[in-house]
This record gives sequence, C-alpha cells and structure tokens, in this order.
Amino acid sequence: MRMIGFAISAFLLHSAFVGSPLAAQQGDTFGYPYAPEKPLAGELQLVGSTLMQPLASLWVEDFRDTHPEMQAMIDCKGSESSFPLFKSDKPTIGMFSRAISDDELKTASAKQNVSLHATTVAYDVLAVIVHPENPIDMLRWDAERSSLWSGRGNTTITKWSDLGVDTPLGDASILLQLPTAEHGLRTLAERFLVADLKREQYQANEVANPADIGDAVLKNPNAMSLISATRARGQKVKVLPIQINGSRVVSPFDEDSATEGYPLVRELTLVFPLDAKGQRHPLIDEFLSFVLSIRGQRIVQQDGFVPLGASVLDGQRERLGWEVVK
Amino acid sequence: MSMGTRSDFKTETNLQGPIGKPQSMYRKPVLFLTFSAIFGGVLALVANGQEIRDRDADSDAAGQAQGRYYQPAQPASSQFRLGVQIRNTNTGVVITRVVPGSIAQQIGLETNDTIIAVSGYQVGVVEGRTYDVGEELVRRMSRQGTATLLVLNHRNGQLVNIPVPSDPSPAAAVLGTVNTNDRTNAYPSMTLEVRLVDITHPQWRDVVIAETQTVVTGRWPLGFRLDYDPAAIRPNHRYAVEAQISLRGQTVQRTLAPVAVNLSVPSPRVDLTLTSSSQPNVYPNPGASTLSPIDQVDSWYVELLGRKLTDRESTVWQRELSRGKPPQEILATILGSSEYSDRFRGDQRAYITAVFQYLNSRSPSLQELTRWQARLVQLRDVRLTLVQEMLRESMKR
Repeated sequence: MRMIGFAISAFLLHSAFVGSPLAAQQGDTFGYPYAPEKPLAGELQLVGSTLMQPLASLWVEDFRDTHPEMQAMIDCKGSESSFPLFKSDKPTIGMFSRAISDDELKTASAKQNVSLHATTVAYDVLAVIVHPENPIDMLRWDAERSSLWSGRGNTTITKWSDLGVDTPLGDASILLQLPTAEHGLRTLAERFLVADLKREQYQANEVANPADIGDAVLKNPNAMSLISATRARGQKVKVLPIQINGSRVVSPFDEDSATEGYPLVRELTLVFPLDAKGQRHPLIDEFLSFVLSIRGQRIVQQDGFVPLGASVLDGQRERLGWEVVK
Repeated sequence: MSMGTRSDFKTETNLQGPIGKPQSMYRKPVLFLTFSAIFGGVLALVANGQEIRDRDADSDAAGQAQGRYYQPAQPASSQFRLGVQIRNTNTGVVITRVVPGSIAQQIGLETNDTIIAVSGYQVGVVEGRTYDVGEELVRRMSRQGTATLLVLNHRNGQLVNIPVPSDPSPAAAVLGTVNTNDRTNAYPSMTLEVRLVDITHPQWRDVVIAETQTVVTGRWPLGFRLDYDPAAIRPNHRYAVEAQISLRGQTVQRTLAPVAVNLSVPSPRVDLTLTSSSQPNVYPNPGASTLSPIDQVDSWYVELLGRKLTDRESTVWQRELSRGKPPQEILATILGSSEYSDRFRGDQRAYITAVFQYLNSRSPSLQELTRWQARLVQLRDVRLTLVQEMLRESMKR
C-alpha cells in the first residue's frame, strides 16, 4: 500500500488547498445575510448523500421558517444515486459527499440530457479508523517523500508492520473496509486509499451502509477504513491522528483541525439542473442562496461539518452568477 | 481615484509570516517593486522569493491533482467589506464597481483603480494563484484593526497608500441605545445581541440582515452600532431592530417587539427598551430543568451521544439559544442525528423505541411503535421531522 502511502499523500496534497482554506475558526461563519425577496411555495426534492441527510433536514426546517408554503422531499440513497433523478419533473438538488469535477458534470449532463451544475457548500473532516486493539498510535506523513512514512524509508505498505506495528498483528495484511459504489466515500477511498493499485493487489471488503463501517472495522483487528469524523465520534473504533512534517500531530477531533493542516477533508457538494433557458428553478436558486448565506453556513456548523471560508464562498457565488462584494 | 490620503509608498518591513492561523502559510509579505515593474505589467516578488515559489509549487501540484483551483486559507472572524466588485488580474485587483455609501467610496476608490497590496501583502493573481483582497482585508482589520491599501490610481498612473479607517463613518449602520426596565437583573457575563431584521412578511421571524453581539458593560442605556450590508437591503421591504440579553444561552431580557427603522435616511437611530423574559424552562427530562440551557444541552450530549459538547458545538448552540431557539429543538436535533441513530445500526424499531422511551419515560405500546414506524416511512426516513413530531406529542401530555 503504496496504496495507503500514495493515498494519504494525495489527501495531504489535496489538503494543501482544501484543508487550509476551510472557513471558520471556532464558532465563526462567513457569508452574506440571507435576504429573500418574498416567501416561495412549491416542492423541492433533495436526493443523494446519506451523510448529508440530517444536514438537509436542518436546512429545510430553517428554510421553511421563511418559506412556510414550501415543501421538501428528502430521499437519500447515496451520492451516486443522484444523477438519474435529475430527470424528475420536480426541482431537484443532488447532494454529494465529495467534490464533483467539471468533466464529471459534463458527462453526467450528456448522459441525463440535462444541464447540470454544482456548488460546494461545506467540508467534512474524515477520520482514519482501526480496530481499538490495534497498537498503532498515528499515521506519519513525510512531506519531503510525499508519502506515508513507514519508518524504514519510502517502501510499499501492505502489512501492518510496514506502518511500524511490531506485535504479531504486524505480519497481517491491512484489510480495507470500503463503502459500496453508490456512496461518495467509496470514490474518495478508492482515490486516496487504493490509489493506482489493481484490485488483486490489496485486500478489501465492501460495506453497504457507510454507517456500518465502524462496526466492520470492530469485527476485524486487521481492518482500516475512512469515515466521516462526525460519525466516528462516540464509536469504539480507534481514530488515528496524523503526524505532519515529522512533528505536529493533528487529530480529526481537534477543534480547528481543518485550519490546523489536518489533511483528510472532503467537500460536500450540491448539484442542480438548469432549465431549457439556462436558468435555475426559483426554488433551487432560493435554497442555494440560503445554504450559502450566514444562516445556512451556521447550520452546516451545527451538524458537525465545516463551513466555507470567505474566498471559497465568494468563488461559489461567482460560479452561480451572483454579485460578490469585497 | 478621486481623493483619499496620498502618501509615499513604504515597503513592508515585517517579513514574518502572518499572525496565528495558517491562512497565509504559503505566502509571506512581499516587498515591492518599482514603478517600472508595475508599468511593465509584471509584479516581482523580491522577498523570500525562493521560499514562496517552493511552497507554491507544492500547492500547485495539489491543485492539478484535484483538477480544481483552491484559494488559500483564511479566517473569517469578521464580516468587514470594503464595498467593491473586482476582477483579479496578474497586476492586482481591478475595481469594477464601487458600492455607493461604502467604505471604498469614502476613501476615494473609483472604478478601474487597481489594488496592488493590502498592508504589504500582494493581492490578485500571483504566479497563477489568486490572493483574495477581501480575505486579506478581513484578516488585517480583524487582527490589527487597520489596513493600508497600495493602489494604482487609474487617472494618473501613480501609486498611493490609502489607510482603511478602522472606524469608518456609519454609511450603512443603525445607531442607537438599549435601555431596560429591569436593571436589577444584570450580570457581567451577560451578552447583548442586536439584530436588524426584515419584517416585510408577517411570517418572517428570522430573516436577519445584520447582527452584533457584545458583552454587557458600562451603564444603562447601552449604546450600539449595527453595521449592515447595503446590498442586502431591498427597496420595498420593511426593516426593524430587536435586541436581547442572554446569560449562558438563556434569554433574560428582550424587546417585546422589533422596532421599525427607516434605512433610507442617513444614520438612522433606534432606541430600544428591554423587558425581562419569562421564557419557561420546559424540558422532557424534568430532573434536569434546573440546569442552564447550554448545560442542559451538554447533559443531553453526554446522556445520548456518550460525549461532552465540543467547544465549537458549545459556541454554536449558545448562539442559537441566545437567539431564541428552544432547547427542545436542539434535543430533537441530537435524537435525529446520524451520530445517535447509528447506534441502532439500521434497526428502526429499536431506534424509535429508544427515542420514545427517552421522551416519555416509558416504552411505546405496540400500536404506538407501529404508528411511528409508519410515520417514518411516510417521512422518507427523515428522522429529524419524526423526532420533532414525537417530541411535540410527548410535551402535550
């Protein structure tokens, strides 16, 4: 696991930008006030990420305080289940617990015959978890080698001993517990944990529901996985901090981990269609305006995620064609 | 640029990295440069240049790996805005519009002026990366209370340093006082929150355009200044100001109703009077009703999630409580959260039973259990709504 070595390195490279621009220091949120023109009515459909379902519920609950005639249908079966649902007659927003590239949007738009666009709305801090009896205390990162540091140079990591475990567990192969393909976390786990290895080069099990990954890790002392830190809280699994640059150790549970250089951070994204005239549905437009406002970003924080920073928020507003005032 | 303080450009002598958080971890203050560099259209980094490039090289690799550009980090502890729309260029930040009444207008910035640096930190596109002028201003204003803009005047091509006032005149602010009819009820740790709200539609209770929060100090009446974003003001809407005082997340005094304010006049004033709040402490678990609201929330976290509130959660919930969010809604959020429901590993029956038991101090009957299970299906597994309904029903009893 050059696999894991490469994986974590990619995460950390990713974090050089994504980890640090995360917004808010403790308790702070940034954004524009939510200043609606008038109450709207209609039905909005929110589909996709199971991770984001509670967040969507909180958003909708607050949004309906201002738009009491509006109804929302929240139906979450995994991020990757979203794309076919944009064909619905109802205004639909897809929730993805990962970043969506422009190329991916183009491909999906062509396949679904609808023009899809995306906006980042929050960040989620991820945690590497292992069995509680696993003696490993942390993962090390060597910035110069751009890889996970095994302690013996930049060797391929396949066994626990490659990560410095010197108990009998050290001889065992690392077993990855990966979510199934419909979940956004799977894509991230493949990109960052599996990297360019072929399937026969690593050991992995599939777990249908990301909420069960913690249990899957608990059942096998060899296991390692990656889950949302919000979901790791209160579980019996061991959450590994990461040592950065050979000195500083940052835990995903640290209050300001995201701004302190903790690398394992993913974007939460909303995907939405444009109509034949290239316009967003008014309800979608209003809901996005709410989500990217101070009010919506505070709800992000309430649900344990990390709100966007000032410049990222402005960037999203520009992508949506809204006025940005510095 | 039509006016503004004109002074000679002074180079930034502090070459240490930015204070505190790592938002400028990739960049150090830059030394500029010469007029020829500007007029040649090239901005040269001459201080610690190699280090800057090295750091950026790593960052660029990340950007390429992701196929997307990310901006450098920033804290967002302030809502400070200069009041300009901009275009980032390789030679700085070109102003494309100045918001009327904004600080930018007060200090004489004009469309087509170019902001080169903020307090010695280059802004705009530098070696392919964008350094946000808004972020840099927020950072300087919130940490140092002041900032200086290096601006290229589009009219005469000259560089000028322009201080940004730390206390600009209130072009977009409501001023006023808050008095109370209950001065006996004052503690040093109380916080005063004043909010500008949109009251155009009767059902709008929480459309907050601006807010300010301060610790209660000094003598009554307390003065306040509420800055707002003029862009958020709609011409045909009605606005009002309301205030409240909170102690550990509990509202102890508040205005009985928002007081209307006319934002179309210069420097509008509002004088508010608070009355003691008689907000009842009604919690599903009566044994804990003597706790303050935030302590109550903390006890729910311990009881239901097996952990204490984090500092961040505590900050957020205290703010929500002080804004009038009933603790019961927070309880519903906890019971409806993935963190709580994950404990039942997808067993909805066990989950509903546990929630019901917690709220009612007894097990549900088979009929009740079946009804709530069916309701969860109706709600398409939206647990929060289910818990809210269960909570409302339990409180009726």
